[in-house]
Amino acid sequence: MKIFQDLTIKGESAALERFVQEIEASLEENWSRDRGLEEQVKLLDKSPTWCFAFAGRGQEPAAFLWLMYQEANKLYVPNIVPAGSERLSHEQYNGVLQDFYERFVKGAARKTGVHAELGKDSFQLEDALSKASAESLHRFSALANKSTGSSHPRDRTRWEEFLISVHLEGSTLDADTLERWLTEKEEWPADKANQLAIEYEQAMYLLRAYDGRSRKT
Amino acid sequence: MAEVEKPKTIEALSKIILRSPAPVLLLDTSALLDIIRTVERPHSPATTVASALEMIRMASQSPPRLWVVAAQLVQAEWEENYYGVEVGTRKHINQLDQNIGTLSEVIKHFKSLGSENVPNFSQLKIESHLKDVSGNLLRSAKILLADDGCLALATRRVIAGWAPASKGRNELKDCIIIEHYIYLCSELRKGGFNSKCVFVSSNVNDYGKGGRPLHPLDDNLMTVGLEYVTDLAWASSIIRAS
Repeated sequence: MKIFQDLTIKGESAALERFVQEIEASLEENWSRDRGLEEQVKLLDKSPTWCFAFAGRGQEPAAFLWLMYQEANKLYVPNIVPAGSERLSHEQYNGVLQDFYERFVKGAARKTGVHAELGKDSFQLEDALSKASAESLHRFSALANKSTGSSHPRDRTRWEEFLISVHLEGSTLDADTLERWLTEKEEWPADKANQLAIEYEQAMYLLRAYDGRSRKT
Repeated sequence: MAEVEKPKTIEALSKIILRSPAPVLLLDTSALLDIIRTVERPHSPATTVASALEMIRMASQSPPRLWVVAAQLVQAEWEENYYGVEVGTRKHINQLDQNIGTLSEVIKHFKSLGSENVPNFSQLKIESHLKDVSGNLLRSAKILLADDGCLALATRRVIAGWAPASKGRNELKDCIIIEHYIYLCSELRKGGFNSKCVFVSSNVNDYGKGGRPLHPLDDNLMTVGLEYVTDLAWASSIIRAS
């Protein structure tokens, strides 16, 4: 399943400053720096934020790539925002990011000695779940009646096994990712996947609240 | 066209509310448009219209028993979209009439079923009445003047991809609306306001499903005591209970 890629750059603060200067100096063709947009956020943040405008090419529409500090020695790209009202697909978003990385980031990182890392562009259940929980979800999805969600008693039992397993391991799987996985990989009807995602989120809240209450008593 | 009173700055409106405290209902455009499309949405609460009428009544009392608030952008979005939604509802009602007409033709062949008068819902101009309720709710609202600080905060929210923004999307309008509401609630709480503040939006994909705001919006709303609900009927229940 496709996901939006991350880009992080780690290094000493002086090296990171030089890194950004190198990027700006190397911009060409469809790329430029948009200081006007940067000014808008300067009102709020003392920490510098950079905006690189991509003019668009082929399937990839015009967009603004933002670069900012995540922590003292780490820059990251928090978002690539389309210039228009359309939504960037995962392929478009990652295409713009990869273009920026290949053409400017790699070279600037080499010159300044910072470490740039492009994240994964696809998601596997095992990225967020233990093997046991992933198997539990696979089992539920494969055996469940996809027109009734988790309402059949046997489906409900398998669904609850998955929920409890996820809770016990403190998984990072969020409801939106689960919903996407159910529809895109397992071909669940959109409304049932949505309902399961809501049930998942509510169950996680309930179990955490229960744990909190149990600890107090 | 919804004629509303002159927009007020957040600071000015918070002072007005603090002088006469009552629950605050903060409207998203989707909540207003949902009134017009309430008859075509399969899961729309039947009490949406009743809730809207009750809220208009509460807001029009002196002193108001409810403060209805809308960002300037909500007013603009409503003007831009209400007609299309009204047309959609009209088409839906026309289709229902056609279906009922077909049913009636079939029933005629079974004398034991009797002959009922066939209603014609299209003639009632229901969509126009719904549009009026929607417009009246907006007219009952205090409009927040666009604030530069909120605009900057909204831009930062878009850059960070924080809900209602997300990666790869330009959700600046939604971010502007919510930043105005967060700031208003923050001003109210600073002034000692302890009544309910309820934000209503059916845009669950951007704000969060089941009335649970996405992270970190959940923290932002909690900090200023702003509750998020997905329909007017739910908002009405919270307000009535307060």
